[in-house]
Amino acid sequence: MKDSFNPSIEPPKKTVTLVSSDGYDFEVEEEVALESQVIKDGFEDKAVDDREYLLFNVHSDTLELIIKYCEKHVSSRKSISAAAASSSSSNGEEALKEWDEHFISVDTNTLYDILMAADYLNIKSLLDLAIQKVADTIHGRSPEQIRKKFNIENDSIIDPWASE
Amino acid sequence: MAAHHPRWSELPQELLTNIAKKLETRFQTLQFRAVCKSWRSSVLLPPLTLTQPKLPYPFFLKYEGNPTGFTTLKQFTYYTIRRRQLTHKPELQHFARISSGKVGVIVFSEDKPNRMYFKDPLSENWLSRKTYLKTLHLSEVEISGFYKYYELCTIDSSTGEEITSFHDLRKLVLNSRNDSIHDFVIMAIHYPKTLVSVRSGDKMWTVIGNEKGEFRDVILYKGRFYAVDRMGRTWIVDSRTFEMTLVANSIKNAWQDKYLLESNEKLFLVDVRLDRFCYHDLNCEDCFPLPKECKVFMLDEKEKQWIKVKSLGDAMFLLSMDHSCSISALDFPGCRGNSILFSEYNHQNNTECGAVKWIALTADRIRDLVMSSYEIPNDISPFQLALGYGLVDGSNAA
Repeated sequence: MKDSFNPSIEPPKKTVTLVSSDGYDFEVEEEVALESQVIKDGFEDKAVDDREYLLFNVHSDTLELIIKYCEKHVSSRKSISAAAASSSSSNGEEALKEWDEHFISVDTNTLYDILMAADYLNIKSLLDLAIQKVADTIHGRSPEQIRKKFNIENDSIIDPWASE
Repeated sequence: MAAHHPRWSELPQELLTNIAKKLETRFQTLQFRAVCKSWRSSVLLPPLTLTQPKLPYPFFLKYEGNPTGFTTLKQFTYYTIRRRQLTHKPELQHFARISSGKVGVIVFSEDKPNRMYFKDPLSENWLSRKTYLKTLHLSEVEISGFYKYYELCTIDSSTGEEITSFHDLRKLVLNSRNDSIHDFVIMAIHYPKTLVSVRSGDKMWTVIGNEKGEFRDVILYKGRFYAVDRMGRTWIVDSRTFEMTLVANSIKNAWQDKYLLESNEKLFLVDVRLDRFCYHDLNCEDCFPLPKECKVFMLDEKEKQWIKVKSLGDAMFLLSMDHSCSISALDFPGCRGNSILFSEYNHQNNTECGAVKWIALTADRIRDLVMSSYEIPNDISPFQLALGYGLVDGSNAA
């Protein structure tokens, strides 16, 4: 409540600029960008006015989703710990789980982009989420159905029992 | 959307490995490995999770020789193999024969880790996994398991080789929590009349309820053991206390033999008239019993009664001494529903192992299948042979 009492006390939010592979700038709050372990590593060594990251492997469409995910997780973590501090009951974690599930319910092309971006940026929770989604998609499907779903070409006649 | 085209087959190995780790069963991992080369190389073949518990020796079974090994379970699984398309490669012809629009049934046994044998319905031999798969293009077929059963055997402790299997245990039913070999209950019929059980940790087998009647069959149905006696009286047997709760009274004019099986989530009883019946073991040549007629009932638990069934619909019942199951004739082109395939054969005597009986329920006599021109190897289940050859066909019965 302190912030709203005297908003001018709050320091200006520090931001970082992320540049997508197709050249769009995304200005995000520092703590949101720090969800990425790759950005976090060596973050302190960078000059404050040089906090711009060129993400050659992440298209703007995907980056938008990734930022949305990170923002949600940063804000949820805050409200969950605030609820814990005031020892009021909270279903924040449940709600976040639901949000995640909704977030990752995308077509396989988008899922691929999220997976690769999460791997590239090393955002562990998002990577886990995407990997689980892929596994869930495989679940209950025959090899042929899996190939169809992921648009994979059958490159050989395969004996799954054979060792390498 | 992103400009590039997603290449799932080119995912980094580390990601593929992590995806494979999330798969829950060995079967799923096999499916995963079959997708493409890079997916396969990302994950090792998972080891068999084999239930091979050491069991106490069944004291009631006679055994010639020195039992030096340990007693354990051997698991068999029926698979259907459906070919997606026919190939004309010569080495595949024998498979094409069973699968041009038909389904071959293959049983394979996992008797110890890393050793699997397939039974090919059209050959007389066990095939090793390798040999079998060489002939089968997995990308062209769909394989799915549909029935599992067990036999008891003794394994030589030093060599790991099977010494003997016990055929006068009519049916072995296993109920294990979480597939754990540390928490299981086994029940079986010591043919022709004794219900026996052994549980994880037991030092010996227990004979159950022999004051109640002569038990003919036992089944695991909806997670509980059901046992039926000669009169058709049926009990639920508690797996902890062995307490028996009557769930069906006897049937009128019951014949000698009984089979329990599940079909469409209902419990069925097949009452069979044998031409002869004796209390000797199955290898008694003087009185080897042959089935002549049968009636089918469905359990009405509310009324505690077996209700006579007029038609099985699309179902085909497969009945044998150590396993019984129901299949849908719709899944097996060439087969006819509302029928019972009954197999009875002598395990010990090769010359007499060829009797496969088949009846249509509407008929009242069991009819011999046209099997005379085929020698049935004694370790091949007549079901798979009959289904594999497509012999279970309306035209054969007419």
